[in-house]
Amino acid sequence: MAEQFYTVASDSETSADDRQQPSLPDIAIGIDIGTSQCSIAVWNGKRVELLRNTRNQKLMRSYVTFKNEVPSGGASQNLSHDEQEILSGSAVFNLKRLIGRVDTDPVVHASKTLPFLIQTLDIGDRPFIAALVNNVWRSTTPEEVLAIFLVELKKVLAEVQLKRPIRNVVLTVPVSFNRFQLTRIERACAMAGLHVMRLMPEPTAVALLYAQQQQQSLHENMGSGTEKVALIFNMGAGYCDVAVTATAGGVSQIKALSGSTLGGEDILDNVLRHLVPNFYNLYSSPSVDKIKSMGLLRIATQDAIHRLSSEISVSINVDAGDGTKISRDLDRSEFEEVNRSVFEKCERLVSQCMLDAKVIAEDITDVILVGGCSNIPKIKNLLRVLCKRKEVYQGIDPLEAIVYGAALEGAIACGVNDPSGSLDLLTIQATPLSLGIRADGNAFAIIIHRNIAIPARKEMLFTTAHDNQTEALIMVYEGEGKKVEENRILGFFKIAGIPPAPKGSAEISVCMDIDASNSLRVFAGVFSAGTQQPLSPFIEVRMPTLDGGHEWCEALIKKHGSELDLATMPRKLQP
Amino acid sequence: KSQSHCWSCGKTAASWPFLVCEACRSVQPMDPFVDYFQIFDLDRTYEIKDNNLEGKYKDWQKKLHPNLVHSKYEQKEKAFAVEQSAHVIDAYRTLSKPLSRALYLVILEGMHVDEEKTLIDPNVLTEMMEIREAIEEASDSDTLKQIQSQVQSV
Repeated sequence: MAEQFYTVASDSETSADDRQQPSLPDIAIGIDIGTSQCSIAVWNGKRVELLRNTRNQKLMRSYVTFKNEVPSGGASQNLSHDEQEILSGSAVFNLKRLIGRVDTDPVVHASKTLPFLIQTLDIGDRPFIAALVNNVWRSTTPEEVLAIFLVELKKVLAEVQLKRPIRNVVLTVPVSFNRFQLTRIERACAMAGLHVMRLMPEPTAVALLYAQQQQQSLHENMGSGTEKVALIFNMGAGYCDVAVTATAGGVSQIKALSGSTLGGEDILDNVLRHLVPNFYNLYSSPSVDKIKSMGLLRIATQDAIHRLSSEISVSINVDAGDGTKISRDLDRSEFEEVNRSVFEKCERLVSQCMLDAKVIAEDITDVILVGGCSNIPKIKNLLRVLCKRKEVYQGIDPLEAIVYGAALEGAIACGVNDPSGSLDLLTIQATPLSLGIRADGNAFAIIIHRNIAIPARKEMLFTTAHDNQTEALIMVYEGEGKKVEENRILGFFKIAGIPPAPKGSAEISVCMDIDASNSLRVFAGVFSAGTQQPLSPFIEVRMPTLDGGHEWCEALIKKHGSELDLATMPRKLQP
Repeated sequence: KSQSHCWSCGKTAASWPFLVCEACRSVQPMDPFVDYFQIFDLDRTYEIKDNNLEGKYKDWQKKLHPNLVHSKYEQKEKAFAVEQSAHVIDAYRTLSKPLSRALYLVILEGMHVDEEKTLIDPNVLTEMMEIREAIEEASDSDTLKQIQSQVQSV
């Protein structure tokens, strides 16, 4: 296929005929990068097809091994590494839990019991990560690991099987990923030579598949075209996401999203600490001789957890070889007690999402469970109780739904038309996290609230905090905390040229704009008092601009104190 | 009062409001004179008879949403689509809730009132704006109930 030819928008006249033949780009593939497993799918002209690797797997373990000179991803290897080899120190995995996080993040600290090197200096920089190669710790970064893995998926899997170059992808991401983490994913894709058409929150990919299924059953049964509300619960190894979607006519409107870094890894960690009480002390940042022991314990415990989904009680017998032995039974109630906090958090995420979507159990048509943890009886049960129903939705494969939805979105994003109308679909996304700026001291003034449909554009007026203040700092944050330090900073810039006046009288406009591809722009400037007319050119900034965390703010405050502070305007003066 | 030719194919608008060209399906630039009621083909009254607001909203989004724009002049049309789509989202959100619908009516009528020099109490407007903001910011059902009881006691 020839290289795609791109033109810059032109103002010249066009005819209706030109519009009938959009130059069809190579159809974007859908990729679901899971903490533990990944999958890849594409619209084949009639339907979505999941690609298989040479071992005939549709779901592939997500890891990169650094054993040889050239690191390689685990997806396409002819010989599968067994799990014990993956846990030998030479492979890096769980990168989805590490990407875009700083070394003060509790999730990074909790990951230190993984069998490769994670060092933290707790200064808000990114953690040091290394794999063991010939008895040397070779450093890498989560973005590099993800890029190596993506190159493997692209070159060895997709391009060989589809016999064409692959450039465009739709990637699914956890709901709780902040904008900084999203830029890391995009960077890894760029390193792998992939262009991200969309980053889709995982449950919204399932929502798209659900919308398609509802459309199809409508055509087949001539049923009523009423709106259907679905609650989607997704829990994999690393993250838990919830979405409420309202579907009608092939349009899926995301009503609310909630999510957290919570998954099978946390469950495994809890059980390991329960079975081996001094597990963290024994195995965090492990020495080389401990790695093998830790791997054996992980495998045995993981296996026991899996078996507990179908059995009431399982026995675990493992000798880690370093003096640690487990030989005992674990029953389901004990397992549920050990993970009580995980299940409670799941409940809170579901309740929060229903509240944000303003739905009650009786409004929900279908409850859809996806992800590896959706098999856990306790999870199924708590969803049934919360949503007041006997059974959950059966029409979706819990491990393939996300990548299926991503591939659908890939086809739609490329403008593919299906004569049968099965691509006549649309997802209207919502912002998963609130966006705002620092004002009134350290308070977080929200400009775009979470769960607002996008594209969206909101404006708010601010004013000066001091008399005769001529400059102000616009510090942009993302999150749900009432104080800025509880949220994630995305960037900052300065507004100058405020006319000297008593505090509280200047009108500083801050406008946030999220386009349909979820990119955020912030416009700010000073209005001439009471006129809504800019005094001087506004400043426009694409966010995020920052790499680091809250440490930047401390530096700013140290340097400038409160002299560049902003205050919120009283409500009645807002436009 | 508003443009009536498609920017892309030049054909005259067949219906109003002119958000999408019927001939070539191009999304049109935003027309500031189109209000929320006109988008949904509703009379400008508080009691809206239509219970298919959601359906109409989704029909519009299928025609207007920037993710579905795949034309030769994609960048230009996408910019229009972003504006139109966001406008329809605002329209749907405003009209679907009784309180925000009432407030929007007050604002629309207020604009007329100004022109005709009729009296409207600006304090009422401000108060209603504040209630609306409070509802938008309310994060839990308790707060909402509290606002509800406040409104009912007025």
